Formats: sequence, C-alpha cells, structure tokens
Amino acid sequence: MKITRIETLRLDEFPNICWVEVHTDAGLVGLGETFFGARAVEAAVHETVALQVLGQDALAIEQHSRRLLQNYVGFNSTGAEIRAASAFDIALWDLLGQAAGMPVHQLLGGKVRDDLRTYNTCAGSKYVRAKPIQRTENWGLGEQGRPYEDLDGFLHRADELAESLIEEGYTGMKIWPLDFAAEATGGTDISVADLKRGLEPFEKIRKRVGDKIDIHVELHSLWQLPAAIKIARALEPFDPYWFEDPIKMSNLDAVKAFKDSTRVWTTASETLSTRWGFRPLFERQATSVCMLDVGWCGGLSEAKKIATMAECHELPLAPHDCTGPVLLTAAVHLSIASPNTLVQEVVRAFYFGWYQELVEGLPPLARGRIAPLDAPGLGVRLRPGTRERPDAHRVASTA
Amino acid sequence: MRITAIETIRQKERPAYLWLQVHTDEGLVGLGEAQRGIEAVDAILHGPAAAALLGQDPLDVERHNQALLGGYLGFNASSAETRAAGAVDLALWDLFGQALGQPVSRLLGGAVRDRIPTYNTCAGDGYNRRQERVVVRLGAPPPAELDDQAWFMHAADELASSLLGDGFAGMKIWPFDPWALDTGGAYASVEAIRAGLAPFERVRKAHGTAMELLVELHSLWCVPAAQRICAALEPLGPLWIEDPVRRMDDVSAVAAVARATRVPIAGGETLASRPIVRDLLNRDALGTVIVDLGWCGGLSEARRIAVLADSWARTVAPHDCSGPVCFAASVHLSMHAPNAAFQECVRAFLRGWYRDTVTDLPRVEHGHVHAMPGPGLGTRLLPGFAGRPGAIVRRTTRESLP
Repeated sequence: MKITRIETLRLDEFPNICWVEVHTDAGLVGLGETFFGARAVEAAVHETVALQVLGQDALAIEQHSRRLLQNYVGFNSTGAEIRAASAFDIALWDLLGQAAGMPVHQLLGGKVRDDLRTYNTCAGSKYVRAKPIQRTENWGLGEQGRPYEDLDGFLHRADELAESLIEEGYTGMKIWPLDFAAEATGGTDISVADLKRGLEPFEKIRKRVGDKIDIHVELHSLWQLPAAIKIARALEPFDPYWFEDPIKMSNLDAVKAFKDSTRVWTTASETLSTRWGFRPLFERQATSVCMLDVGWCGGLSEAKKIATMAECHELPLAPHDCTGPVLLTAAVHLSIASPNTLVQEVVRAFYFGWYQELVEGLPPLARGRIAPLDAPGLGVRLRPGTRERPDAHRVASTA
Repeated sequence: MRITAIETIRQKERPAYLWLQVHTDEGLVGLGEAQRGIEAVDAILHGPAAAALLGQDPLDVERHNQALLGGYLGFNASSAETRAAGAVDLALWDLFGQALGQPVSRLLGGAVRDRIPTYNTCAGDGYNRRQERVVVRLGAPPPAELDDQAWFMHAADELASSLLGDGFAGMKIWPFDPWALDTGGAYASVEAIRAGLAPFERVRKAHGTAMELLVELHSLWCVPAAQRICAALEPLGPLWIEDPVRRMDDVSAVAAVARATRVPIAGGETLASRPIVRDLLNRDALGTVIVDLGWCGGLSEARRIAVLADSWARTVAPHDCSGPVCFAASVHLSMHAPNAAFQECVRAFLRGWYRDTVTDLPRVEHGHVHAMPGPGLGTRLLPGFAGRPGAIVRRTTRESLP
C-alpha cells in the first residue's frame, strides 16, 4: 500500500490544530492530528515528512517512525518537526487498522481492561484555542452560555465545580490556580498573598466534598525549583493527587529534587518527546507518573515504546488530552492496551463541545469512564463538510 | 528604536535556507539566517515570533531570546521553534552592533584574538543546498572543481595538497557515511572500516603530520559500530571524531564512545541549549563542543554554551557549513570566546555561493579566519538579492498580523 498523497487541514477557528490525512493507492485514507502552532506543523509535514515518505509503503510504520524521529535537526523535542511526524504516525496506525479491519488498540496488543478511569481537566470551552502559547491571556475566559466553563469554575466556584464533576461520575479533577502568580514573578517566587489566593480552590473543594475527588495540580513548568517546593509544601495538607510539571523539563536533576521534596506524586511530562527525552527522567527516578502526549512525543509508535519503558521502571502511565479529538481517541487506544495505565485525561468542556462539532466516532465517555470503539483503525472521522468549511486551509503534497 | 517589520527572503535554488531582515523605525535593518526546515521556521517567524517582536525595542536582545527559546513545546532542541529564535537573535545582535557602531565581538565583551585557526570542511558547493543528504560513494566519477567531498572520496591525498596550498592545516571528511546509511548504523564491517580509513591513510602517507585530520561521523552510528571505527582511527591520530552516535542527545551513548577511545570526541551541532550540553559535559562525553549559532538558538545561547564549556575546561568550535550570515556571527563569537579553539569553514562555500549572497566575508588565509570589522555582524545581503528570480519575500508588520 503506497502513500500517494499527504494532505493537511487547518481551520482558522482552531489555529493550533493541524490534521494530516495520508492517502494511499489502495484508496484508504488515514487520519492523524497534532496540536500547537498548526502553521509550522503544516510546513513541516510538507517540507520534511512528505519529502521522505511519498511513494513509500504506508504500513512500514516502524521504518518511517525511526527515520522521522531522527531528523538531522529538532529530533529531541516536541518541536514542529516531531509534532508533524507524530500526526503522520497516528495516521499510519489508522491506515493499518483499516487495512486489517481491526481497531488500533487490538494492533497494539489488545485491551488489558474494559474501560478506563478518567479525570477531568478543568478547562473552559475556548481554553488555549486562539494562540500557540500557554499563558493566562490565552485561557479563553469570559465565555458564557456553554455547559462546562470549568476554568472559570475552578477559579471562582471550585466547590460547585467539584460537586458537578462528582455528580457526573468523575473521581478526579485537574486545576491550575497558581499560573497567575507565576506570571507575576517569572516563576522565581510566589508572594504569601498569591499563595493564599491559589489555595482557595483547594479549601473550597475539600470543605464541600471532602475527599470524594482527587485534585490533580497542574503547574505548567512555570516555576523555579525553590518556588515549586514552597507551593508543594503549602498544598500538601489538601492531599493533592499529583503535582504535574512543577518546573521546566530542562534540568531533570532539579525535577528529581522536587520529587524528593514532597510526599505527593510528581507527574511529568507532556512537554518531553521520544524515548530519549523520557529515559533520563526515568533513570533518575525523577517522576512518579509518566505523562505523555501521543501527538507531541513522536506518535503512537513512540508513545507505546515510552509506555513500555515506563513500565520497566515500575511507573504508571497517564496519557494527555486537552489537545484535540483525534489525539484523545489515539490516547485511549494506547491507554486501554497498556498494562501500566493509571488514568486517562479528558476535558469534558472539549469532549461535549467542539470535539463533537468536528468529529464523529469518539470513544464513549460516561460516568467518568472512557473506552475505545471497536471500529477499524482509530474509528474517529472528521465530520462531513469540515474540509469544505470557509475557514479551511488545505495543502497537499503528492508523489 | 522599535521593530516595525519582519521580512523573510528565500531562494528557490537554495530551499534549505532562509534570510531574515528585522526592520526598525530608525531605518536600521538587522540580518539573520536559518537553515533546514525553513518553511516551518518561516511560519513561526511570521506568526508567534512576529507577534512577540513587532513594536518592541530590538536592543532588549536577552529578553527576546529568552522569550523565544522558552516556548511550551520545542525547547531544548534544534527544533523549528529554536531555529526561528536563532535567526531572530542573529538579526538583533546585528542591529545592536549597528546602533552602537561596533562589531558584535566587542559587544560580547571584547575580542581576545584577531584571528583563529580554521580547518576546511570538505563539502562541495551543492552540499546542504537542500535538506536531502549529499552522499558520494566510492567509484563515483572524478570531482568537479570546488567539489571537495567528491575529491576526498576519490583522492584525499591530492585534496590535501590543494588544501595545504591554500594554507589549511586541517581537513574534515566523512568517508564512513555511505556504510552507515546502508546498515542503519548498526554494523561497521571490516570492509567499511578499511574503505573509510583509506582517505585518512592516504593523507598521512603523502603529507605526514602537516595536516590535521578531523573525522565527521554525522550522528549515524550505534555505539558498538562507533567504537569500532574510533579504535581503527586511533593509530592515525585524528584531532577529533565528531558526532559519533546515532543520537547525540543520548548522553550515555556518547559517553560510552568517549570512554572507549583515546581520540577526543567533538560534537553537538545538532543539539541546542545549555541543558543537554551540561549533561554531556557532566558525563565527560565531549572534548570539544561544536555549536551552530542558528540551530542552538542564536548567538546569545551559543555564548552561554561557550561559557559552560569553558567551566569544564573544554573548547568550542563554532560550526559552519550553515550559511554566510551564521558564519559571520560565528566568527564574532570565535574572536570573543577565550575557549574557542577552531572556527570551521568551507572553502567551496566561501569561494562559491557565500560570495553570491552577502557583501562581506571574513578573510581566510594561512590556516586562520580573521576578525570581521563590523559594525554589527559586518555583512549585508547583496543588493538586488530579494529581487532575484525565484525569490520568495514575505513581510509582516503590526498591521498585517492576524
């Protein structure tokens, strides 16, 4: 089955999402996706990926993965080249599944459980939609009239939000009420006032619902080590489930020092990529949980290998969402087939919002649990008409 | 001074390159450059980078560099994001120098020398023109003029004579590459070793120790194969063996090769940022740090890396083979950094397309690269460059930002 055409799709409404469709001479089309800086990814797909794979066997997945993750520059990061290679790899697994008539999780070795526990990342409907930046200005606050404005919720009504999640069957929630304070100091320190303000959501949650829900703390790699330790100490009395990305993943010895400073789990990191990015983290015992994003770390091929490497280090896996509907679907296939999966991230504001508007065939999510469909390939498809939208940008490379 | 426009220029005939001009309200124009994957770099320059830079003071060089290198994804590597940051940083240092009427080497804290030893990287004029690797195999036809790569595969001793005649006392060649590409780097056969050694032996036999030998392995080999190659090269006494393993971010793999050989290991042009260099230095994996100013995130980051290497009593040798603007910036760093040992150059480029691209290039004679006088980087794009047939020029201003 030869690759005849690679097409990218971007929508102005979602400037961070790039879809990659891999066309073959067998008439099958595989769908992949990645998130963040879609224009740069689109360029990388056509100038760096297409150049090396057009006319080649679409099912030689391992060969393509090895070559594309070993690009002469940019190979050891979540940069545009690796995001492009990741989206392409996901599309190849979709193709393989279609060709075999099997769901991707079967190809990865089959289900090791029937469904997955999830936690809800408390983003709002327009979170990180407008720009390729992770800052408060890009949080899409001020939206109204949609069912799940959970970011506004954790900032102002964390107790009500926790109740709402428990009612819907969720056992965990992820919040990031300290980001504002990091922007005030560049992450060098946190004032007592800001720290107290950041604790309020935790106080409200524990007061209203007790220990009925896990609180995952997202720190977004915004802090320097002493400030991160200060925050961790202050939050410990609330028994958070984990501290995620406390500092930038640049100095893994410092990440290890953070982990050793607290009895709460450390989770890292969606911002790392490939086995070579994760191995030093695991070797140092610098994380308690392996968080990865299949659209950033090198695709399903590499994610499976990282998951296995984590397993060898006795570490649980917790794949990322908060990116896009195809990536969530791919992550669920990986999660259900990986023996060490702890929990799968979901974002109900996205899942029941714009994910449904863009695709069909999402893995069903109900009562806080998610499971993949048994349709061939990923099972997820762009809704008819998406490619023809007036704000669509389609670029094709052909053999 | 405020940044008013971000302009990129690409040439169809050289699709691996991009030139950046940062325009200001005072009429000064800073020149930068990027190489490889430049359409992705272009998208970043006209998107998030332009949004961050337009209307800002270009002389806040450090602030802009830290911001552009500190993205949520793509950090700590020579990713498109980092290469875009590198291009911007070169242009801002150029503006800084022009604004003060001083060469960049002085702004870095002053020059410690006015010339530095060089060696010739034996590429041909078409090398790196595109992203695809240029491979010359044994038995290829005799070289055309300026094609030093074909020449080293064909008759390295003759090439060495020519280089000595030009004043070069060091040459870098990569005769092992074809075998790595054939085996995925997994196996260096006796035949591959023998064929790869032959050019080095021919040079030693013809010219004794008059010529330093530098071995480029291009990040192609697994550890056992790299160790076998290093062992075979040891009797010939090369100056260094560069980028020996498949992934230079694999610190333990580089360290394993370094431990197993007496030849100093050089490397790092494909890496970016201090953390990975620190990890390599911590494990005694590198003797000389090769830094590419465009790929590593700019002159600002290259200087930080040079300081880091100096703290481990290691040398730096800025990469060339990347482009004339990056080369000029590298020469400024080479004049300033006390631990700079060599400045790489490519005579085929210096005599060929570099001259067809920029107004000024440093003097290279008697085996040394000489300082660039400045101001700024001291070189401009040739008049009419942006108007050449096939040129793709893109300009973003505050008004045209999405």
